[in-house]
Amino acid sequence: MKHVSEFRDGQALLQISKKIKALVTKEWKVMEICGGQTHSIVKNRLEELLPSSVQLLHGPGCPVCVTSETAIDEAIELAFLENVILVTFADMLRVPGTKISLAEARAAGAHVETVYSPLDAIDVAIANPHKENVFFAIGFETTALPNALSLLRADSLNLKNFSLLVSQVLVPPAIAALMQSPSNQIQGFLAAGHVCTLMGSRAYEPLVQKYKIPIVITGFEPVDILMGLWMCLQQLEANEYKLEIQYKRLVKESGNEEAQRILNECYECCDQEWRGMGIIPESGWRLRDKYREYDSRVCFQLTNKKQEREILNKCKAGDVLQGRIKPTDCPYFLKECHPLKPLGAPMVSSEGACAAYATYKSEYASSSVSSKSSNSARASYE
Amino acid sequence: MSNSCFLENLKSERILLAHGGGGLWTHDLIQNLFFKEFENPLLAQNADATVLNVENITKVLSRDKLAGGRVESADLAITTDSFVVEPIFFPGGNIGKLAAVGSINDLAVMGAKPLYLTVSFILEEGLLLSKLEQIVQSLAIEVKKVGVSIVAGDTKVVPKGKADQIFISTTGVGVVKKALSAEQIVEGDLIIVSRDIGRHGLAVLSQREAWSFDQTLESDCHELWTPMEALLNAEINIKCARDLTRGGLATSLIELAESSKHQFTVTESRIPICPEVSGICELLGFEASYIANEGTMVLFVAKEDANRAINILKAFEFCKEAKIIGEVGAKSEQPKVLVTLNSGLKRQWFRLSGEQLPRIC
Repeated sequence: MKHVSEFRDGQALLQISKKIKALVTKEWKVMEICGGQTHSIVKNRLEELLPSSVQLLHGPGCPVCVTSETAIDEAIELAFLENVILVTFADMLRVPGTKISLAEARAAGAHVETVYSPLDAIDVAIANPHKENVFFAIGFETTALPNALSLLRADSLNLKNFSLLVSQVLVPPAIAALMQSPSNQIQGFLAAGHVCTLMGSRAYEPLVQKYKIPIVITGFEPVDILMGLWMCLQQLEANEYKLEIQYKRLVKESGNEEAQRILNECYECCDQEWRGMGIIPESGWRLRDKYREYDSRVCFQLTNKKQEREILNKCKAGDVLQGRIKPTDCPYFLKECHPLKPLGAPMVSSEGACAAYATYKSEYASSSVSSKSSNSARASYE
Repeated sequence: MSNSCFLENLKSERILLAHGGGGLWTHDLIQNLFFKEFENPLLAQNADATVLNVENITKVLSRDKLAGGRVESADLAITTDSFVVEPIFFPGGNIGKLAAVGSINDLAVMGAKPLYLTVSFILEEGLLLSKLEQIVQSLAIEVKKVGVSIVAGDTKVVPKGKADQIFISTTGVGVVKKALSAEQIVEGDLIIVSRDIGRHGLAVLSQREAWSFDQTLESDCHELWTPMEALLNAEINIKCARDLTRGGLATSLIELAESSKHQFTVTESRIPICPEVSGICELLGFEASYIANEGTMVLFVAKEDANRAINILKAFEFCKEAKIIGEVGAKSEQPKVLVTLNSGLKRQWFRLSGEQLPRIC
């Protein structure tokens, strides 16, 4: 099996599209959780293969987008300390905090370095023994694992100049928060395939039962997404709700148990602030007490200015991340807010919904897709 | 044996500030490295500027059957580039090879036979002379392959920390055999890419980040004049060509659509991408069409000549993946580059706001 080409097959996509159109009798709103899924949907124009009665709502599954202004401000505060190197993923540089971004902080003299992998942050610390190295450990469960590995590597090396500024978020509590919102319109979820590859599917069963809502753990290729959606719509049309796994080639009910052991070794649950969604109880991870010496918030006296912070930004990240509006509904989309000058996080990140729309959407839309039109699209040189 | 020793009493393993001082060390470096590797009668003039004879330049064309005999005058093409690649050695080449092919290819895609190159070096104090020799030798090998003479140069040395080992600037001059331009593109022309895309950017990135894969990915760094000359000699009706560098295939096509004011349509499945590039792109969440190349060109060819052009290109080992990937559509005031997906749906290529960044999860 070729895991990529089979799940990008055009004919398979058209067949599933046909099945969905034949199946659906009512209007449905389904949310895809993960930013990678949002990008795949927009890039491959999958919404054009759906009947107009089916709406895909884009969820808060972008690790950069949901990192709070508070966390960015903390990173900036640390970066400006004289003896500190703030190490971060490059995607985080342009995300606005309350007032400025890490990129602007760097331009103003803060010491900020970028890495591709959390383990590279260890190399930076080793190369700079006389500096305090702070790694900005953000993301969902998927990134929490390599972040944890960097912590364990630091511990095994007994590094005294390395700590993590942790801002980890968890998917299941976010789903609960979305379902509890008074304005919620979500009727089904496509859950994040890679998060579940690590964590398994068990955490989602209570959500299915409590909110009586179908959840299908779905992959990222176009065929994955349409298949997952079709499975979800079948349940909705039959008035059923259950947990299903579409991404069977990677996701097991038990997940990756070794990964879970490492995560449990390093982290414990805590309340977490999400950009645009406020504090969601028990929705994040912090370092366990045994690793306090590697926790930047313990190592450094961060000023707690949260109560003074006024969010000046007019960005509608909260509404976009909760699927209440599409990026194109935002009055600033591609006007005051665009990839070169983003007002907020969803326009910055390669996994953000606003960035996806700005990169892949255009006025151009192909007309109805059928086997006939795909033949007539055959190029003159083939 | 390394050539680190030059004049009998001047020995250094590394570039010193003295090498840029204008005295004996500078003289030694220029004579025994640059002049030795780049040796040609024009460079041997060894003056503040090299004098070129215009009639000699036009004689180049008169030997060519395309020009058909004596040529009274010729158009010259001139281009300039700077090279700051990091790391300076990467799979498939180094900064010296890159500097040579960069300007050669910029001329080649204008339909101009590259003739002359100038080369300026900014060297960081402390650069190993053995590395500099390798770089200069690579540059020399590349220019000789296409018959280009290096006719002028400059050397500066900056203190340690003021430059990243070595920066190179080049200016290339060529004589136009057949003028190619975006204005000549018409509806119905076919779009050809000369080989598989995305190699150079990823080869350099993998080296810089010390990633190791089962297969080492090599840059496509290569001169493009020899295949272009073969196409021109076969009188293939080429309208326009571009060297795909920063921004990749997608950005070049966007720029040409704007210059030509024509819509382009490309079929995604026809774009040649090697498995190594494809695999790394999947890992990082990159799109190969936006990745830098250094030995790949896109050509706009009259429909009736396209298959013949492909056959000519495929005779070159480094163009064996040449493919027709798209076609030119109607004129438009706001032309788009549309990509036909496997599903038959189309999406548009836009310029990226910055460089591609790897996905986080």
